Amino acid sequence: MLDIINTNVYMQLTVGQYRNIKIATVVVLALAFSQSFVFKNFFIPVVLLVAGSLLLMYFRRRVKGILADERDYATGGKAALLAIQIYSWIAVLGMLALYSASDLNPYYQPVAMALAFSTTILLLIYAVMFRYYDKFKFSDKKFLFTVIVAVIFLVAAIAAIRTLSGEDDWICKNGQWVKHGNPSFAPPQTECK
Amino acid sequence: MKNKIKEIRTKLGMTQEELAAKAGVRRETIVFLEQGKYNPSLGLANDVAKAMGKKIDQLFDLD
Repeated sequence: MLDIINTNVYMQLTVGQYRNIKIATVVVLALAFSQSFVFKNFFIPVVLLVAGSLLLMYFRRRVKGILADERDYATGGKAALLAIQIYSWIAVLGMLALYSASDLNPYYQPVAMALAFSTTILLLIYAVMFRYYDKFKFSDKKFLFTVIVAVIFLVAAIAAIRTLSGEDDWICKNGQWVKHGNPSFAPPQTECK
Repeated sequence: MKNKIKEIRTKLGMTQEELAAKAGVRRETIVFLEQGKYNPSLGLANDVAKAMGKKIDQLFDLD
């Protein structure tokens, strides 16, 4: 860790120094996220996440040495594909189990839906990325950047519409839970103040 | 795929670290190549051969 302190940001980094910086960044982000849940402040961790990513991108360019080569990318590709398949199976089975048990507890249904949507988005992004690498040049970073931004924007827009519209939910009014739209789940068990 | 990377590298007096730096890969990749546990792309095979001053067919058994 002392290597980080001794590192001049204007000089080139070794692979080891970069890894230490990466670990330190992850630790800071993990602390920020855990505290954000305690204090219910979600703005700071989002800012830190973006700042941390930019910082790592900056330091990555200053690394003197090979961080990853074709074997790493090949291994990473295989591992990513397997991880996607494992997650999809677990999520789909979990979704079915939770959905079928939603009569026992209505809170299972939104969890099941979250699993279903996350799996769909994951497979959709994978399909887009696969199509990209299958059809276009690996070096065409401008197009890749455009696709990534478009996908992120689309997902954020859908999430924002779903969250901000507040349709099909229970609203607290005069100490009682009142239907807004047509929610498919039971009112919250928490006290309405 | 069988290869003579280790044999030729030793004859040339190169370390795995030096060969990795010249070929633009991590040292672990050279270890995997020497053990025959990883089949490189044509580009990497060429880079390794160039780094050792050889041609691909002198390093790799293409039969």
